[in-house]
Amino acid sequence: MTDLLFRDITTIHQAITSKKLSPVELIELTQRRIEEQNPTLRAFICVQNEGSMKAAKQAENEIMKGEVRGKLHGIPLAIKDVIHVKGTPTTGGSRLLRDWWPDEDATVVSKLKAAGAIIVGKANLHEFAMGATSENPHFGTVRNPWDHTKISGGSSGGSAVAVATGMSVAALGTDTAGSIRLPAALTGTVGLKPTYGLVSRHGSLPFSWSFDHIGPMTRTVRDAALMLEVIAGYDPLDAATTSHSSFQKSEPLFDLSGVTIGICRSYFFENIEPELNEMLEEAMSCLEKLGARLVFIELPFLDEAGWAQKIIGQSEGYSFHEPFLRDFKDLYGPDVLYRLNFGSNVTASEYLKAQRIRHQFIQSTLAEMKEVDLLLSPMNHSYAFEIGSVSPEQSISNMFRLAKAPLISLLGFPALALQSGFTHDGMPAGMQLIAKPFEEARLLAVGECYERETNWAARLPLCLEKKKVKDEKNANTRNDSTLENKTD
Amino acid sequence: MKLEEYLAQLRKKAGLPDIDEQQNIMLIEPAFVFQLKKEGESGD
Repeated sequence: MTDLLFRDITTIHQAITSKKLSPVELIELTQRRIEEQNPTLRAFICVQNEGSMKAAKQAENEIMKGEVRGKLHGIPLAIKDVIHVKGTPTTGGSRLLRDWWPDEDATVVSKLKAAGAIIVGKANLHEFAMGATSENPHFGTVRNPWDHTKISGGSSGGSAVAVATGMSVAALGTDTAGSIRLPAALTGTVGLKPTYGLVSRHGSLPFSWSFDHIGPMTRTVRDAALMLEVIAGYDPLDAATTSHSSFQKSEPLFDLSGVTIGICRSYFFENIEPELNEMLEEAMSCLEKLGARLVFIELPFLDEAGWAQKIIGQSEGYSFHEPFLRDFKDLYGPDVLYRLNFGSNVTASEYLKAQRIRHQFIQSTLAEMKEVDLLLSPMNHSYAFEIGSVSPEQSISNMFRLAKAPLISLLGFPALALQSGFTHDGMPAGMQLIAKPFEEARLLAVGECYERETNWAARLPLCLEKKKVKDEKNANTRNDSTLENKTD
Repeated sequence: MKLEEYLAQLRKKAGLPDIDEQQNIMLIEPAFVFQLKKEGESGD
């Protein structure tokens, strides 16, 4: 039964609705997995054992009566702890907000619950989502399940690790500069940053209003599409969403003929580890073999865009935290405090210049993408750091040091992080496919086609492989004794 | 509990004076929001 927690949502949902699998049994398995793995991996800040079991029993009753609520009925999910779930605190991974209990669910959580999802807990993260490592001084460091001495990536590290280890079937993360995509890449999972404005952020703690996105973190691309169908949509409570904020999955693609993928070598492939570059080259060959046409393009304003991303992100972050910082500075972790101090020095003129650069960058990138459907780039261009190896002062640049993610957040375009392979020491690595605004359907269809060809998702992190061997050994021992009993 | 109420509670516990209303509004209102357009859609 161990493998059940790694099946995709559709398979599990079919088993539940055809009454072959009880939601209660599924939640019991999930809770047991959390109990086994969470003390080491620290993927959760808060686990809702009672609430999730109650929801599972209700789901079981409904399904027995033939009342299927939606595509996620009975599916266990983790929610990053910057997103409100009624009945739990939203700590933001901080000491400052550890006792803050919001009164309502976030819009995305209401949608997930309406589709039948069961929330198993609030996932750990880098404090206030402001960092790329998920080393959290208040709730513990989220460890990478592929190597416990390494970071999981951040800031949605807990969501990624929960999914990678079967502590939840899928999760929600947030992405302001790469916080969904980097941890997905470093943990061997799939992360989607949707188009800015496709998914409502109402009921979530802001980091930077201009860049904040909520998106799915899953084991497969197909699951990401399914989750997106549930959470996308216009919300009058989030001014960034629009009347065309909707998503419908397209038919699966089995070859990529007619798909043109742009590769921008400058910036995106700079400073990449040779081994990770080789994986990208193999991924490109695979896409070509599937029928895609690869073309090389250049994007303008890349240096300016990097500057603008930092200016906007840091100043908006500071703007939100200013009323807290004045009197409660000592409740913040050292790296987040350093980052916020940087934001306090940004001038209004710099901020406005950065927003103008952003506009130029979006327009010129769209022009360069006129002849291409998608862009492809590395996700992580460096290896996951050892835990504790980066000083608080250095951590402000971690996302830029690890991944080619922040500039895509500046664009607001949809970006899908998925596996490009495994390194010599068995660590997962990722690549990123980027589409034009609101073209998630094609992005996900291409990603799914590539994923089907490579099947990286079949591998399990080391800690679970060891457990699998142990479980099998125990099962064999039990079988042996049963045989002995029979012989006797 | 709303975030502004939580902040007020924190301040009270720390023996600090009440925060002014202007600051409360700043907590909940986004500082800047923009919208992306679909390809071919008018910017008007």
